[in-house]
Amino acid sequence: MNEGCDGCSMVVDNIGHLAHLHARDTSFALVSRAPSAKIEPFKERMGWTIPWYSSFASDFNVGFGVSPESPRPTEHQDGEMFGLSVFLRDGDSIFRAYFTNGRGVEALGSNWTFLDLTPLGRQED
Amino acid sequence: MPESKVGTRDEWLAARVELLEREKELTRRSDELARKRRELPWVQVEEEYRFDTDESTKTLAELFDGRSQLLVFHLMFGPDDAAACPGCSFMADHVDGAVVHLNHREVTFVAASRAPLEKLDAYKRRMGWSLPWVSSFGSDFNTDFALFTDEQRRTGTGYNFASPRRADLRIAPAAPDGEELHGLSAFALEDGVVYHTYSCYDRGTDVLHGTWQLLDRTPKGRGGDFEGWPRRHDEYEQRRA
Repeated sequence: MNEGCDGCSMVVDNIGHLAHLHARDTSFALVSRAPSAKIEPFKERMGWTIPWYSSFASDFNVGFGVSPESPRPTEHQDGEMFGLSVFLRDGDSIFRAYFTNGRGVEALGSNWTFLDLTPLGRQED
Repeated sequence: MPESKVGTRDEWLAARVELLEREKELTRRSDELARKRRELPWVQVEEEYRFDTDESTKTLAELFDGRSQLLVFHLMFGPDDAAACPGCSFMADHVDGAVVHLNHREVTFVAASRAPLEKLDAYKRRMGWSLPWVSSFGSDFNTDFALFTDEQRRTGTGYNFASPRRADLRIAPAAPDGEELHGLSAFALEDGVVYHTYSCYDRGTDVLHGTWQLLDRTPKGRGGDFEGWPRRHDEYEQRRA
C-alpha cells in the first residue's frame, strides 16, 4: 500500500489553516502506521503541510483501536481504520479526552456539510 | 485541571458510549434536516447580476461554470475596506481543499464580495488562497440574498431572517453607511434558468468548517474569549514556546 486511503485524504483536504487551532492552545497532527518513507512522498503529492507522523515502530494505532495487530494485505488499506483522538496535556501527564470514528468525522466541517446545503444533497443514492 | 474530571479508562469508556448515542441522534437529525433543505421551493432569479472574475465579466448562470449547482460564500469585504473580515477569512481558510471534491459532485463554489476585483486578488495572494473569488461591485447581489422583503430592503435591516439578535445590524449597500454581511447561498441551474434554493447566515455557517468543530471535540471547547480570536491567520502573535 503506497497511498493513504481516499476517504481519509478527502477529510485531510478539508482541514483548515492550523493557526486558528494553535491560537486556542491546540495542536493538530496526523498519525499513520506506514513508515515515514511512504508518508513523505504522499504528503508532497497531496500538497499538505499538516504535521504527519509515523507510528510504524509503536502500537499507538493498535492501542487506540484503529489498526489490526498485524497488517491484513487482503483488506482495504491493509485493514487500517480511521478515527480522531483528542488528548489533554497537564504538565507531564497526558489524558485521553475524546475519540470518534465512522460518521462521527462527517460533522467535523467538510464536503459533507457543504453538500448538505445544496439542492441535490450528497448524491449517494 | 479539576481532580474530579480525571477518571479510569473504564469510566471514560462508559461515559463515551453514552455520549455516542447522543451524537448518533444528532447525525440522524442532521440527515433529516438536509432532506428538508432539499424540499425548499426553488425561486427563479430574474435579476441580471454581473460579476467581475479573473477570466471576464460573468452572469450568475456563468458562475456555475458548466455545473448544475452553485454555492456562493458572501464574504465581507466592502469597496472601502483595506482587508476582508477576519471571521470570513477564518471561514475561507478551510475551503481550498474542499473545492475539487465539491466540483465532482456537480457543485461550483465561489466567494463573492463587493470590493473591486483587484482588492480581492491582492488579499487572496496575501492569504495564500486558491478558491474562485468574484466581485459583485456595483450590484445589489449581496443584499438581495440577505434581505427578502420590501421593508427589509428599504431599511437595510433584517439580517438572518430578521433575527431579533441582529435587529441593530444595518446592511450595506441597502443602508448606505451600513456593514457588510456574511452568508452562504445555494443556487441551481436548470434549462438555462437560475434558481435560488437556500441561504444561511450568522451561526448558520458554524457547521461548515473544521476549526469550530474540532474545538468542540477538545476538553476546553471553543474558549470564552473572542476578543482576539479568530484573527486573520497571519495576524496571530507568535505561539508561546
